[in-house]
Amino acid sequence: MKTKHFYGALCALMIMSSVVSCNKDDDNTATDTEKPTFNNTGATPIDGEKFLPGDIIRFHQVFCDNVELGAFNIEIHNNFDGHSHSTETNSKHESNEHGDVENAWVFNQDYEIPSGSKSYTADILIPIPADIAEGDYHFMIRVTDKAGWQEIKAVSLEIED
Amino acid sequence: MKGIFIFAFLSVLGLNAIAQNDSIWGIAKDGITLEQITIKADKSNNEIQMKLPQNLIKVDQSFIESNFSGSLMQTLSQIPGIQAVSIGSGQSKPVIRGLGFNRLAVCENGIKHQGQQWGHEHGLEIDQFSVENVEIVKGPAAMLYGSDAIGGVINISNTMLPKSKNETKINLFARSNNRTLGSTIYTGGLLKKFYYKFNFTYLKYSDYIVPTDSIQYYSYYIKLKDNRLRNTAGKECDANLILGYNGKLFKNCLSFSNVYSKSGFFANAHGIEIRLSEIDFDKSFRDIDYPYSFANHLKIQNNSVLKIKRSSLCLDLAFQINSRKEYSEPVSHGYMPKPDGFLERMFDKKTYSANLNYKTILGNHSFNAGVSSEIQDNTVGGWGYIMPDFLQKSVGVFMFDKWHINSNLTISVGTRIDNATLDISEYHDWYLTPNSNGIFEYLLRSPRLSKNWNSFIYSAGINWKGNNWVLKANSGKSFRIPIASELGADGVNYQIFRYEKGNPNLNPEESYQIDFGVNFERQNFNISFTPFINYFPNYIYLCPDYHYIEGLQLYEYVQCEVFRTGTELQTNYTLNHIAEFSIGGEYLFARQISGDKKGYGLPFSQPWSILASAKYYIPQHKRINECFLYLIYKYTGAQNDIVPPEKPSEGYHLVNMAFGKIFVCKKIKYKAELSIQNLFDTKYYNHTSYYRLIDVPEHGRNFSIILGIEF
Repeated sequence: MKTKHFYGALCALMIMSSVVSCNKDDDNTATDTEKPTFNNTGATPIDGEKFLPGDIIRFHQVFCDNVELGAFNIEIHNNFDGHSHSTETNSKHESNEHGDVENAWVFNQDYEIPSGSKSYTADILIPIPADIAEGDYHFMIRVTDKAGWQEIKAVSLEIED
Repeated sequence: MKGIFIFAFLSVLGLNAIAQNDSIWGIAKDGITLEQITIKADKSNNEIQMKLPQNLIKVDQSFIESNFSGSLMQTLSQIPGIQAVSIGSGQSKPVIRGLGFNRLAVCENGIKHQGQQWGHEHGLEIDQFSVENVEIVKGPAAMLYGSDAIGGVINISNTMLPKSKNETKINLFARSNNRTLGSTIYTGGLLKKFYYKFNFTYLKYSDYIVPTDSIQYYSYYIKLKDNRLRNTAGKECDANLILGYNGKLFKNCLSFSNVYSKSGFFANAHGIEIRLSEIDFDKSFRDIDYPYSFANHLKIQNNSVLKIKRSSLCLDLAFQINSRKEYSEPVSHGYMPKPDGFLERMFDKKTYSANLNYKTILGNHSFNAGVSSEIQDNTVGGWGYIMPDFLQKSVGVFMFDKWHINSNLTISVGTRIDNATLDISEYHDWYLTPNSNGIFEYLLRSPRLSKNWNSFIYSAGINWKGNNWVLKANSGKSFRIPIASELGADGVNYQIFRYEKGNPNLNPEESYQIDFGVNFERQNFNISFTPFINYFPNYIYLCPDYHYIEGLQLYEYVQCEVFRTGTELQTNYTLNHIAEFSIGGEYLFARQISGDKKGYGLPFSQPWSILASAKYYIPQHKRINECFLYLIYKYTGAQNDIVPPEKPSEGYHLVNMAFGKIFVCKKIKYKAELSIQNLFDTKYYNHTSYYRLIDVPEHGRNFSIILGIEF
């Protein structure tokens, strides 16, 4: 008899635990599992765009998220080695010239997005210093949403006379 | 990673069976099934069975000995409820029911193994071939093991006595996928009351092959040459010497061990400026280029036992030095100029441990009381900062009583008090950065911090044994003190491309858990079911934030409530001495129930899985010889319960097979085994693999061979 009670108690506990876990599962539908996205209509700079040292890059981009956007970052680095980013629309063009890495342009800036935004249009003017090494550059855009998901976009630029 | 080793593991069971020359299920009992299953009328087994109210798994020497690939944890990860977080082919860390890193303790002969457990890309640094027995406690075990054992314990021992005056074992092994070649030699002897044992292992491997020709990493598109992961080659060299005295009243065991490994990091996924490297990684798949890591673990340990009538007094003393260096090509980043030299990170941890334990039997009570103390002295170096220097001192006192009400029923209660102090040194950047006022200064990354914590925990459990049944239940509280990186990290983690920020106000993590074990055994059939429920009021979680710092996404250490539950199920069926079948499965559910990520799970939560195996014994002329054919099928479910930045992983099927033969000739035992892992060269992602985050699939098809000789 004793043992029967034992089994009974054990079964009850197990059922309880499974019920608890199912309930929690239902709550889960509220969590955000989607990354923010880039709406590329009218976005600048465009892939492969040419600039001169001393020019101004107009950055125009619409960010979207299913819940709420977080922040974004722009980073520009040289592509003197001809590497490629999968997110480029028109990538894999080989660079023959190895530029002067020491004087390559480095740009790295973080930006806020007003809270509560499901979509946000960024419009920023970025002047290119006149004395930088010429060559191929990558223009990287990173965006997060409030939940901490991140999406990255890479654009190739040519900065040459 | 896990699936790949299924075969090795299951075939080991086979070898074990043969070695025992016993009924086939004798094997599984000594192999990896829950120890409860082994219980028949045997008194000694009963004693083991009643040892702990938690769910306990025992793995024996032959299981580990025959694991000729990867690491110890990759072998053990075949046990339901045990996983390995792997990086590359030679490094992996244990995970018990989804908790790993500093949430479980690895002990060697009673002493906590102290390396850099917090790091994703750090291995365990234990020679798997010197390990004789492994006991795994699935569930909180801080009662006996202190902080860190909040998720469980992996208790390794190599204290078995040699069986004769002189015994030798030699194993040679090779793997096709990463071109592993290695050997391990054991020699030991028992001379009256004195004994010695010596192990030596050497192995070398090349870059491993994955079933894909390109990967994407942090938006970089990377082509692989010949499907090989660049620079994942490595080597390992371990030695272990034990000198012992085995008297009736007094026993002593002195051991020296040194584990050395050097392994490359996947060249395209380490360091922010890898694209600027001038190394030709594709010139050879055998060499180890930058970036690579070097780790050496030296341990000197002495265990003494004094027996007086029905009592025993044990004293364990140990000194360990864990040295780890990570080298990579120096590059400038942000305001950091190009550093001199290649040493990016260095960790040097010295650990001094002393445990005193008194056990006695009073009537039908087994009483156990002890004191354990430990000092960890950690220094860091190199140009890449990730955590500060620290000095940690801890001392704990525990009492544990097992009340054997009758031969079928045991009740256990215990309590423990701990005190820990942690002193973190301040750390300034070695280069100048403009502060908010535009003045250049050596930025303070980690302020000086002194912490002192006390903790009080308890547990209660019951073990009950019927005719064919063994039932267990245990409930209790466990704790874990925060580690230096959780409190004082403040900088870029280049391996994962994120900015990690510690929180000096973290409190010790607490955990409440209820565990059950239901086991049934009848003749040639057995089944075990081990569910648990767990609640953390203040789980320490590295939470992804949406802000950017220095161009990288910010991750901050926070504390939140977590609810977890899960179960493992294992069944076995034997058909005489002809064939055996088994089915095992595991399921885990974790949910953050408060804080910023309320509603999300926890990172690295393995999906459910089921493993079915069938083994056929080919009839032999002599009964002493054995020959078998083995087929294993594993299905792992999809994991969509993810936390940023994880990606969902799809379910996958894996098939492994093996053929083995063992024969004895003139008292010399020869064994040979050929196995194939990932028979269909399936491209799959293991949710608990570190490289999954960077889109690297698991190993492709692999042929393995082991040749062994024992005399």
